[in-house]
Amino acid sequence: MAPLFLYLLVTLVVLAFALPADLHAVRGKGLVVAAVMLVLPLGQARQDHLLYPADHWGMYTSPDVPLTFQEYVVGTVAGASYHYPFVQVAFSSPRTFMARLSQLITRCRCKEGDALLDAIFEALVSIHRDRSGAAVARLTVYDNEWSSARRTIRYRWQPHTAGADNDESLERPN
Amino acid sequence: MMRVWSGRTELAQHAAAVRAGVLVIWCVVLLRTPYPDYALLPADMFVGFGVGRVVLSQEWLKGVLLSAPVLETLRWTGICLCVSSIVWRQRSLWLVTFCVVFLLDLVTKSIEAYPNHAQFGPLAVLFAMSVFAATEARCDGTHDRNASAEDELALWCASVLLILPYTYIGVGRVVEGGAELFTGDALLRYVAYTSRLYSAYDFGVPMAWLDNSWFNGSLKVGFALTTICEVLSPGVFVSSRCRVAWLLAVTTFHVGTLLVMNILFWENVILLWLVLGWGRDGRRVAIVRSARWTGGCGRLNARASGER
Repeated sequence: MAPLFLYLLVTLVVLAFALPADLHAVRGKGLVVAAVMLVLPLGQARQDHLLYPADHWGMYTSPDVPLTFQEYVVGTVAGASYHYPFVQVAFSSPRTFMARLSQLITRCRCKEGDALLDAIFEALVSIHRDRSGAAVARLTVYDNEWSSARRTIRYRWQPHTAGADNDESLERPN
Repeated sequence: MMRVWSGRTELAQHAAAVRAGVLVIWCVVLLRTPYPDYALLPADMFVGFGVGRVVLSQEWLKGVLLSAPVLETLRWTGICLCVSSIVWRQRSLWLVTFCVVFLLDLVTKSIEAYPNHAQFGPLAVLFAMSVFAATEARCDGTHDRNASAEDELALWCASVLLILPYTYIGVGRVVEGGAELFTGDALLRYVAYTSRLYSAYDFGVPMAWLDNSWFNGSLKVGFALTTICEVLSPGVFVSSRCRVAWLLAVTTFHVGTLLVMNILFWENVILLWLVLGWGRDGRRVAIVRSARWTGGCGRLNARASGER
């Protein structure tokens, strides 16, 4: 309950400074004020996304920084290689979309052949092809340790065969 | 058009600018998000948050909502509603616009790992402007006292909803992160981590810079100052000087995170300046707490207040 009281207190402080002098004008709009006073602090304290959009907002609140980051590298038939442009799929928040993919990849505990991931990557490749005209030969997800520059294949997708006959080593130096 | 603009009270001009700004932001977001393409993604990927979780748990509803024609229709309906709402200020129209935009935002969020708070600002301002969207205030003798009150409340609500996330984030960082977050190298590790992640902006800090004591010292000081600004966000309601200082600090913070972390909450920057940066003497922020507005329609307002 302590976080809830803390955030409720913060909300009250903000409202105390901001409340209109003409309080009578708020009459009839009390529900909005009540929602601000109750739902937003509750969303802060709960952290389970159920109260979205009154959600917990946090930016760099933990000293524990992730040790690895993921790269989604597109390999084209023409031989080009570049990061998948997620802005084509999630314009407002490409990194949160990448984080969702990362969750699914972590959950599958596999390096290829997962039905859900293959369907997602097929859709992503199709969207990319429609937007840029690129003929994609493969999409590979790498785990990178940013402190040591070590790079590991985390998941790979290829059209149709889904990488079944790919003999590329699963681990290689960057 | 100019006549309509100049015929408005200053308060109404401010509210109209915020209304137009938030609708243009949503038009851009809806235009650039490929909603029909989401039908290509497997349905199992869509989970959702809050109300979205309830909506998407109904298989039949999920099937209908996530089809390409429905998503395309919703997107263009949303864009048309946003454009219409700029032109016509009717509460019912605004509420329908908010509902369509909110539904589309729920669809976007349902394929993401967590609700990115970058979109909370535009959503909250659209909500505030929809709830308080009664008839327009003019200076032409048809001035509606209720419309002024609605504008004042809309801007008050938008200000509070824009400020609160900053306050929460600052307070949360101090309480959850503790002193170690500011005295240690956590920020430098965050910069090293985020500048390597994919981003549409493609800025990045060369790793050698992080070993430079001046550079990383500046980052740490900036981080601490930003957190202090966030915690003291309610100060924007106290005086115009606090408001200007806060706006400059937060804008610097957003530009800084773009340059060193490839993160930009452009929607927030625009809305903060529209909602809080209006007016030269801070009256517009203080609208919310101070006295009633005494701008170009002061005589009318005085008369109106005399009638109360």
